[in-house]
Amino acid sequence: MELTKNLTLGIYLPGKTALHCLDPRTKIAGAAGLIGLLLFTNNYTAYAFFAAFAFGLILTAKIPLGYALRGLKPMLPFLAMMWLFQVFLQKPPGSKVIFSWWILEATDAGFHIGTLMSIRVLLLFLMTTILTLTTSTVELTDGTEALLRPLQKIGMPAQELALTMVIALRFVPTLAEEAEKIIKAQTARGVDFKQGNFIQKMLKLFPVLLPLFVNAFKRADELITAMESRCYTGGTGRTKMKVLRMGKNDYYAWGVFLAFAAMQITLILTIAPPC
Amino acid sequence: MPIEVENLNHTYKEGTPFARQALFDINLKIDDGEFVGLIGPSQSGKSTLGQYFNALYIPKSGRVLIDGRDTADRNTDLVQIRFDVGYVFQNPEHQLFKTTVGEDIAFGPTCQRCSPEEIRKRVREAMALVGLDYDTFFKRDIFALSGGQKRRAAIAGVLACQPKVLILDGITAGLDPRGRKEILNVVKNLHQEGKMTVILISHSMDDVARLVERIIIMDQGRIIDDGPTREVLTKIGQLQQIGLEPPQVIEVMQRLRENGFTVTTGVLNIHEAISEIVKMLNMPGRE
Repeated sequence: MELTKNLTLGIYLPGKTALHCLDPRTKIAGAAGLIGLLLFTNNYTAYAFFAAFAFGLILTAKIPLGYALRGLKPMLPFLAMMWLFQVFLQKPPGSKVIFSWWILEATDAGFHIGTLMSIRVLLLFLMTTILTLTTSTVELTDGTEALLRPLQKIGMPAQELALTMVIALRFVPTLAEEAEKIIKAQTARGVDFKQGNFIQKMLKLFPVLLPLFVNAFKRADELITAMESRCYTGGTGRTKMKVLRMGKNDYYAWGVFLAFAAMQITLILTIAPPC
Repeated sequence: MPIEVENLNHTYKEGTPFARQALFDINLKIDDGEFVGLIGPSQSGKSTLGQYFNALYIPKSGRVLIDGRDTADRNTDLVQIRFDVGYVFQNPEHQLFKTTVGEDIAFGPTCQRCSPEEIRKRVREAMALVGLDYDTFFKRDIFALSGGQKRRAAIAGVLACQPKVLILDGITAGLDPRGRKEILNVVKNLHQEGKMTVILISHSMDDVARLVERIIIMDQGRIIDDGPTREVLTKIGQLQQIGLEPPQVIEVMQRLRENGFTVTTGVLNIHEAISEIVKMLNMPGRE
């Protein structure tokens, strides 16, 4: 019973690799760029190329491969459901029925759309995981804030937004740990979370979610007190302990990114989508 | 309901870069009716070990037998083991979730599918055992309770399952001296009158020393001492080495001894200390 074991989102894996040491602005913008590319990718070859690049990143950051992939596990049931919907409900004109059962008909186009979408979601998640595993929360805030700063002129509260995002990320593992404790306490009183049908299992979650929410509000309250007692007043006029600076490695990284993007776009444009 | 642990190892987050071994080759036997203190500094593995006793953790390496039932055996009814071995967690907020005290205490028996009359009877009994007045507290809002009352409600919630072994994790943490005394009296009664096997998990020597009959000391995932309370507690050096404060009375006696007074350090409470000092003062040859 270890919920936190499969959780990779929002966890920072300290290290000294090239990827860890990049300027957070480079990493955040790069991740955003890669995710953007992912949204336009529409054929298997391009996805394979992208996946190879993702594995390259994981190797560079010295993240154990099994650990990076483990974080994808909790998503599999949702992906499977999504895939089934696509396979059975997508019926674009001109598609062939490849399998039929009762009133359900699976089309070849549906199969391709579902598969491509699943790969896209997995890679998307992998990209965010790589970003958070190699970037500490402080760096993430600083980076996001710096990237959003131009928007401050049109009234976007960059610093506050960055802080909100980081607090949310920071508390994912904390809440998971807490949920684990509550599940244990309920198990100790005789709740068998593994038993029963879907609805029974859902109902059993109430005794977990209720205290979890109560504690989350309490925690938020404590956090506010802690911040106010240190005179936190928000964005304007705050200085940085570590000033962000682009280094040589960052320019190399942008070179690699642009080269990859060019190849990826070529693959997207030249190879016809399977449906 | 004896608890036997054989060659138990435990690793947190196994297979991740954050893996950390929390238990190393633990061997242990706790017999019926024992009153045990499982003591160690934080991160010593005491709570992890405790959670093996009621099958919250299932051994991957080693064996845990509860009344002869192997918790790793697929045919063992784990839910039954969890009713037999009650576990009260450190933070009562992790356990209490219903709106009223009565409903919350009734949760365990409801899971056991008791009849409504049986549930009512058990809630009444459990509340009496922890000293919460039935009429006053039955309909009280959980969030309106004080820290000590919450803790007692949490214990009652576990007692309502009618366990034969009771594990209490950090039961006095964060309570004021009075709340602490009350809770410890409740625990003492459960052992003496209720004839339960009680295991107290704690890092506080003072609380535990007065109560338990056997102390198991853990440090860094290993058992480093196990024996009758008096014997274990007098090894002050060993306790200090792993960062545990020995009970204050024993420290006083130790200091007296260091200063040339002939007293024994084997005292557990202030009364024993007083009679020992009086004895020393009345000894012939002293002015």
